[in-house]
Amino acid sequence: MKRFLFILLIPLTACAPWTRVTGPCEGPAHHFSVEIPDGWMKFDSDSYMLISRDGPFLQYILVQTRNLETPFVHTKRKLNKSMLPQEAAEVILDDLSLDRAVRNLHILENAPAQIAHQDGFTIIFTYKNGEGLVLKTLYNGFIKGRMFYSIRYTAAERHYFDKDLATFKKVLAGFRFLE
Amino acid sequence: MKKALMILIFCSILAIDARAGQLHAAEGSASPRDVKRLMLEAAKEEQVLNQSGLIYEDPDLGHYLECVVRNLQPARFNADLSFRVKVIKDPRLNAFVFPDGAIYVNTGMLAHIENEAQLAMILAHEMGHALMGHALKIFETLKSGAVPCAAIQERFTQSAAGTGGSSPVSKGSAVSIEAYSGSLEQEADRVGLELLINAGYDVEEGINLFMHLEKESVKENIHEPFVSETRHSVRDRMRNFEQFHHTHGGAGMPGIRRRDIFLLKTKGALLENARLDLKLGRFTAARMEAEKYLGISPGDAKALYLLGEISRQKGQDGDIRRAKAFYKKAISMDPSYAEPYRALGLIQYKAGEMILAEKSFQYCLSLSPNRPDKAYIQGYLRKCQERGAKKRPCS
Repeated sequence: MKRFLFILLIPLTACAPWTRVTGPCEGPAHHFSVEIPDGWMKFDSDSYMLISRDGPFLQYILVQTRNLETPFVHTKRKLNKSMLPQEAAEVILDDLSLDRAVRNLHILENAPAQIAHQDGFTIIFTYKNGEGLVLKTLYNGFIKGRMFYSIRYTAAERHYFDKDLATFKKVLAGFRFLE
Repeated sequence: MKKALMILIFCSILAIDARAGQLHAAEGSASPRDVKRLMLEAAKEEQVLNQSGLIYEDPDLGHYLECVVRNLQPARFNADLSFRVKVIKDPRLNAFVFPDGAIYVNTGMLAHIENEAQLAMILAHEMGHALMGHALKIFETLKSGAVPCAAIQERFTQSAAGTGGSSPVSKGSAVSIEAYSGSLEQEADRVGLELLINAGYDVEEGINLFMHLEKESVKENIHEPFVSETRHSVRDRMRNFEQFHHTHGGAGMPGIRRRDIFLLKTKGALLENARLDLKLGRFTAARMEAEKYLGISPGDAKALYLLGEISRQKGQDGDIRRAKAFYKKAISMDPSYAEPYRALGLIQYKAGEMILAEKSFQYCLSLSPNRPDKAYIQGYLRKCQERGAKKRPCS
């Protein structure tokens, strides 16, 4: 998790292609679109869309697609299209729990969910990063065809998480497939 | 920069398994201020580690490890050094020590050890690092500029990014660290062997362990810190062991092994490591560990269930059939254990056997009504009932 954030921040500190956009916005490879909230900034890469208002160290929404064959960083387990949402959630949690940068991981909720009319899962967890900051994540995921979609919201547990939770729920509700 | 150096030392300690050492015993000209700072940083790191949720808690195992360390420790050593051992839930083959004598052993290491003599070899080696003050030696080397600053920053940056030192460091600096670390490893081996022999353990078992660890590391094709980051080859290490053993006249003499007590005390950590290996997707390692556990505790329902999970998650030819057999055996050994019912339910649900699945999920929920995945199971039950209703003939 921390490594991912670090990778995200490398371009930020250089000449980051952050753009201020409002309204519907297409994700990478034109797989999906989301509604960018007022005042938030967007950062695109080949496989994810990252949006934040105060900077990703404090809060971010990450929409990501990955091919089911793509290996995870920590676990050798793979997702497959016959998996139930609970089984897919297990793989995600296995990978997360093996990340040495994630400390004091606590799973607060792991339940089935409908995301963009797809059967998926929602996980809520907290963890400490290397600086001891407690972060909270709401992670939604589902498998569609050969792709795994994840739409997650991470913020500092104190103050920031609750503050932008409603905004995240609007972004989630506005998620649309483009194909 | 000084703080970066301090942090770097601990990153290096964790990443390259170079061990920190007991400061007052260290040679060299470290200032008392440096010593104090190193100790403070060590204490902070230990605190973070102890509160990370990664420590495997088992008072009985903890007591046993303390006993082994007490057997090993020399009659006279600096009173400031207090050896104690904690186990980390981590499937990699690793062990390390902090400057004040706090030793950490991964469950992955314990899972590959066969007896107390092998455990004693690992602990004695770590104690050797601490007794010889190796952390301070590394610190002095870094301070003296033997390692270029850029390399320090690079290594520090990698660790801060959570890559755990697995990425390549610039060649020149990596060689400096490796060369220095190699001599420390030899010294720790020598001191460790002295402790091992003095405590009466079988040194041949130490050699057996090194051979086994290297084989496992190659077989799994994985990066194992204790084996691959030890700076001289296992063969050299074994040669050192043998030479030293002969010098002390101990060769051929039977020593303490204590297999049964070791397996009994560490079996919980073994099963925990099998679960971690399953999470990692190392199915073969997980299966071997679960089977080893069953050898110690025959018919244990948790281990049988885990074998079922390994087969189910592997999901290749015949695995689902094998998984079902393990779940049923686990249920027969402990009918009050809810997990095998859930797992059986999942297999039946995916196979469209809705009546059987419904029954399994109902059993599961009746045995464990407040389980964390209750919402999923209630969802499966709803779908089982919906599909069951569709199939019923109209009256």
